[in-house]
Amino acid sequence: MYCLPCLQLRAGPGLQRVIAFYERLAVPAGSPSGPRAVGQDLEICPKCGMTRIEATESGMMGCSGCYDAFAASVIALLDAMYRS
Amino acid sequence: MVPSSHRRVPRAAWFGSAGPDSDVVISTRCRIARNLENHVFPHRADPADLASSAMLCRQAIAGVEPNAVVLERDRLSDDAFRSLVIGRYVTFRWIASDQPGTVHVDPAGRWSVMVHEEDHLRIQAVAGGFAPEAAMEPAQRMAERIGRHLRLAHRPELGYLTASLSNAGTGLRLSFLLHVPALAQDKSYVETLMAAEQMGCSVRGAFGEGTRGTGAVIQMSNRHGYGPGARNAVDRAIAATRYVVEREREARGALLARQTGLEDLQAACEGARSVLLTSEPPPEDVFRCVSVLRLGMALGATKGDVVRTGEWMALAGVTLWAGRHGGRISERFERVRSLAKIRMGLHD
Repeated sequence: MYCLPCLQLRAGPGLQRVIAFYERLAVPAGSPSGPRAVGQDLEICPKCGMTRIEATESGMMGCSGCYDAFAASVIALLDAMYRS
Repeated sequence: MVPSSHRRVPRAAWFGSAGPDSDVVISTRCRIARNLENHVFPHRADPADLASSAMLCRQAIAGVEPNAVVLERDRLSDDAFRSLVIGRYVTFRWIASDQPGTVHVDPAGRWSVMVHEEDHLRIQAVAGGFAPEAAMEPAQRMAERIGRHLRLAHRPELGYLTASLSNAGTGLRLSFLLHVPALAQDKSYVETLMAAEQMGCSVRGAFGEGTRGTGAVIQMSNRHGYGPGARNAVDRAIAATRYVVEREREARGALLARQTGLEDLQAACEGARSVLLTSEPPPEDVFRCVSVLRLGMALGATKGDVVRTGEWMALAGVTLWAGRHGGRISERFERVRSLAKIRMGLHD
């Protein structure tokens, strides 16, 4: 069994939608915003225009700037992969 | 514009190299992913970005290895295309892309550098048999030399930055191509592969058989290139591969220990020769026949040099993969006769 971050990296587009659905379920009803990455991540990479959601769900970064823009999410995903 | 002929593609050194454990391990590959800082990664790049990054990469490689054979992806003849794939100079992903790209090949056939695969640069070396050092040394040396000419995407806390997060860190993947026909028929097969995965290794079918390696040829590689475990990940992949090699040998021993084990294998090898030499079998059957012959040669059940079968396995496996892939790639493989090359080897 994979943890969610690892599964996200391995999943195809269909399964990614399923994972995103479960992530949304995990947010308590009435919460003002959807799930957010920890830290001070930007929502869009200023260098290539890739969104944080797109990058973290696909596991594909658009440019080196994505690693800076989404640093907290990237570290969390890499740590999760390493732990598995 | 005249397409590049296969005569320009150097013969892969690993085809004729009897590396350690070559009865089971066909080849060892080390690939290193690198990207340029301030350039969008290939899958997100527009034509201007691609042209710019391609030019920088090409200049850097030419500065390091001016004698390398340079081939452009959109100018390959069908036979050059096949020779590059069989020699493992390029990956399936590289050939499937329609972006501008080049491959730079060592005239001695030991290494290659792909420009615009998933990353800007994929530097790789392949050695025959179970030979981690022989594959890692040239790839690492090449990566270091190219890196001196380029501003690479790197962060001290992460390592090298790659298009796929799963490659970030060292960007290094060491992989082994294993032929495990006896183990694949054993009831312990799945359990053995799961044990290898638990040791920290990724296992998959080498020619698209799926993630669990359901065929007789599997690829095993290190799973991590990031964090404090990266250094040990390569060692774990080596240990896991050794483990599977031993299990395959045990399964082969059990096969020969059966009452008619050797006779059965000899008969299968004769049948395989007959099929390959006298009929036009579909790619699946070519792969099965070559697999049996390789096993027979490794166990002394039929004449022939097991080292030569590495090239045949690659030919048969890649043809099988291309057929499953369909489309333009499948058409290009249909136009070149892989079977003819295997037949020539059987007649030698």
